[in-house]
Amino acid sequence: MFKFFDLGVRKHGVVTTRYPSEAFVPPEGSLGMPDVDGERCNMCGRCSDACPTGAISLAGRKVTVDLGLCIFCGECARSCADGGMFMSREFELATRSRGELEVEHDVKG
Amino acid sequence: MMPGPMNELVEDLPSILASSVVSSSLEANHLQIEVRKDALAGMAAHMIGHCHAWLISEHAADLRERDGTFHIYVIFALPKGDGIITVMSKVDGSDPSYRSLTPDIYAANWFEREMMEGFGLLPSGHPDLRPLRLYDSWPSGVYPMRKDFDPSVPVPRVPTGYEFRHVEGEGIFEIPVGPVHAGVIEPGHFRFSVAGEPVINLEVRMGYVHKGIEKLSESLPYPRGVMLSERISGDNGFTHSLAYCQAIESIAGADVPERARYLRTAFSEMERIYNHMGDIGGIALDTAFGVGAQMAYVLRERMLSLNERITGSRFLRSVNCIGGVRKDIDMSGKRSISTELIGLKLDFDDLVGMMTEMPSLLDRVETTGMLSDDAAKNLNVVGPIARASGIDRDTRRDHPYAAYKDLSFSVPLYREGDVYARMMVKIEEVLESISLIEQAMDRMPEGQLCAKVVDVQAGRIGMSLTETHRGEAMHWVMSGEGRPWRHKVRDPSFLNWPAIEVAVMGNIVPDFPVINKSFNLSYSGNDL
Amino acid sequence: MSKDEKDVETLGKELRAKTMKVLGRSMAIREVDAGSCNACEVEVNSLTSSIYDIERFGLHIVASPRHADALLVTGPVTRNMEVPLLKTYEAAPSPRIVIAMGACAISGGIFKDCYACNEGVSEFLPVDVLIPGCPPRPQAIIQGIMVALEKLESRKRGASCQK
Repeated sequence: MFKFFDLGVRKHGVVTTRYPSEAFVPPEGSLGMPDVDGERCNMCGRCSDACPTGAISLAGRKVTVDLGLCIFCGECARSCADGGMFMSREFELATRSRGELEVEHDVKG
Repeated sequence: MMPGPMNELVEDLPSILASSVVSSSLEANHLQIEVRKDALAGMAAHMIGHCHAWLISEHAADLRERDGTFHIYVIFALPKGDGIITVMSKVDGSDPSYRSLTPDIYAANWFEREMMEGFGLLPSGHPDLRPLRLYDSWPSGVYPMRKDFDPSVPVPRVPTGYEFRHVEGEGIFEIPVGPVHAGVIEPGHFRFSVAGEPVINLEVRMGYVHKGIEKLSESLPYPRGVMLSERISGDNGFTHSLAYCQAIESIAGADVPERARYLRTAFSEMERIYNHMGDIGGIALDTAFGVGAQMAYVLRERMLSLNERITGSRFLRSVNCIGGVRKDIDMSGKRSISTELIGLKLDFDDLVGMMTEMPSLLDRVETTGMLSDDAAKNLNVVGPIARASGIDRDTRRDHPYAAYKDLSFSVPLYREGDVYARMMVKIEEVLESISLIEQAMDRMPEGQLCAKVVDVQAGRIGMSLTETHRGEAMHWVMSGEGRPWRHKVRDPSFLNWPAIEVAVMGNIVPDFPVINKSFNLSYSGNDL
Repeated sequence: MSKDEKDVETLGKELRAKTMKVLGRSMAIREVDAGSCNACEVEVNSLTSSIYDIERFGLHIVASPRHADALLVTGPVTRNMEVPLLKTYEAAPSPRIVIAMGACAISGGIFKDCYACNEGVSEFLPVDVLIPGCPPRPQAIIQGIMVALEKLESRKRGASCQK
C-alpha cells in the first residue's frame, strides 16, 4: 500500500494542472486559433484557397475565419507569404452560438 | 528484394492455375499476377495454402469507364523477405459476380462484404452476405464506391432489416451493448449470447462511424488527402498519413530525404508510445487497479505534451507531407526528447514492476480472452495481437519503410494469446520504441526535410504498409488526375475485429471490457 | 491570452462555485461519439486522468444519459449514429444541454462532404455550447464546460422567472 504512495505522490508530488485557476499558455509553435495581422495582410486570398474546409473567406477589407469549420491544420499560415495569417496559441474558444465562431478581422494594409 | 523466388513462384504454379494467368510482372519486390475471374479464388487459396502468404487486403476499383470492368485486387505478403504479391482479376461490369474467397480464406469475409455494398460485386458462395456498414436505412442497389455515384446527392432512407445471429436454447439470453457505451469510447454494437455467465457467442456489428472516407478521398487533391488520412483514426493519424504519403511517393518515384526518413521513424514511435501507455492504463483501469491506470495516463499525457512541444500538435498532425515532413527536431528538441524519455522510462519501469507483481491484476488478465495461434493465423490478425498469439510479424522489420532498416530493434513475441500476453507485448514495445527514438536521434543526418513531388502520373498504383500501434495499416492508391482515382485504406482493426468474437468465447461478460481494451481496436479506422 | 491574467486567476474557484450553485453539487456529463475519428475521445479520456482531473470541480463523465446534465457530442453525426444520438438525447432528463465538441460536431469539419455524414450536431439537436478545435485540447474542453455552466445558469434563471 505504501509502495503505491511512494511511487505516486511522494515521488512526483502533485501532477494536476492548475488550469483554470492559473492561466495556461501552450508551448511555442502549438497550433491554436488562426489569427490575422491586419497590418501585414494584403488580401491575396492564398489562405482561403489553401484551407481544406473553406473556413476562410475574404470580403471587402475583411478576412473572416470560421472557427467552427477550422481544423487547426495551419495550412493557411503556411500558404501566407506576408505573415498576415498566422497560428496563434489561443485555445479558449468555446462559445454559445455558431455566429460567434465566425471571427472577423479588419485589414488595414 | 528476392526476384529469384518470386519468379519461381509463377513458374511453380500448378498447371490448372498457370493456364489461367493472363499476365504477370515483377517490379522490385512486388509481383503482380493477372488471372481470369474464375481462377481468382483458386489462386488466392494457393497463395495462402502453398506459399503461406498473409492476406493484406482484398478490394476493388471501378474502371468501367476505361475497360468496362471492375478490377479486384487481392494482396498478399510473403512470410519471409519483403515480398508483396498482388493477384488481380477483371470482373465484367455487366455481370458483377465472382467466386468468393471466404470458404478458403476466412479473413476475406469482411473484405468481400465491403466490396459487395460498395461496388455491388456479388461473391458467390459467400456464407454471410449481410451488409457491413450500410444497413438500417440504406436503399438496395445504391453502391457508393462506384464512379457513377454522386456523393453530393442525398441518399434516400428506406426501412431495411438486419438479422443478428441467434443462439437458441434453454436459459440462453442475449445482452445487447451499444452503440453508445458506458465508457468514453467509440460507437459499436456488441451482442452477447450468454448461458449464465459465460459468453457462448458474440456478434460485433460495426459501421456506426462509417463516414465515406474512401469516397471523399477521391475528390481531394493529394496534399489534402494527407489531412484526411490523419483523421481516419485519430490516435494513429501519423502512421496513417505516413502510409498515404508513401503510397503517393512511390507513384511519383520521389526520393524522400534521409533526414525526413529518420524524423518519420521518430514520430511514428512517439505515437506508438502514447497509445500503448493508454492501452496499458486501460487494462489497469478495467481490472480495478486505479493507481496503475493513473500512472499510465500521466505518462501518456507527458508524451502528448512532448508531441506538442516538438511538433505543435498533440496528435502529430500536420507533420507529414508528400515528400517528407514539415517539422524538424533541432538540438533543443533532441535534448527535450531525450530528457523526457529518460524520465519516462524510469517511471514506466516503476509502473511495469507494480503491474507485473500485482496478484489482483494478474488474476484478471492471465488466461483471459485467449486467442490461440491457430485462430490468429486463420483470422489473419496483425499487430500486437498477432505477436501475443505467437505470430512473428512486424511491418517495420518485414517490410521496412522510413529508416527502420538502419535501426536495430527486436520484436517481442508471446505465445499465450491472453490479455497478459498482449499487455506484455505492448509493454516491451514501449521500451523498443524508446530505444528506436534514441537511435534515430543519434543517427539522424543533416539535410533537407521535404523533397519536391511535382509529377504524380495518372493511372498508376502505389501501395504502402506501415506499422501503427494496432498493427499493419495499408494504403493503396490508384492515381487519377491530381487526386486518387481509388484510395483503399485498410486499418489493422479491420482484420482484428473478427478475432475479438473468438477471443471472448467462454469468458464471462465482466471480462469483456478488459479483453476489448487489450485489443484496443479502432472503430473509426474500421468503419472508414 | 485574451482574458486578463487576473480574470483567469479566479476562474477555477468560479467554476467550482458555479457547479455548486447551478447544479447543486456536481455536473454529470455523458459523452456521445457520433462519428468522430477518436482523437476527441482521447482528449475527453485525458480529462479524467490525474493531470486534468475534472472531478475536482464536481464534473463527472457518467456512464448513462439517464442522469446526465449535459451531452458532450463529438463527430459529424454519421447516418448510422443519427438514431442512437437522438435516443441518447431523449434519455437525458431536462434541462439538458448539448455541447458540440470539435470541428466535426460543429460543422462537419473535414468530413462535411462525405456521403454518410451530416454537417454537425445542430442538424438534429439544439446545440448550446460549441468547442472548436481538431481536437480541442483538454483545457479547451474545461473552458467549454464553464461556458456551458453559464448557459445552464441563465436558463435556470429564465425558468424561475416564468414561474
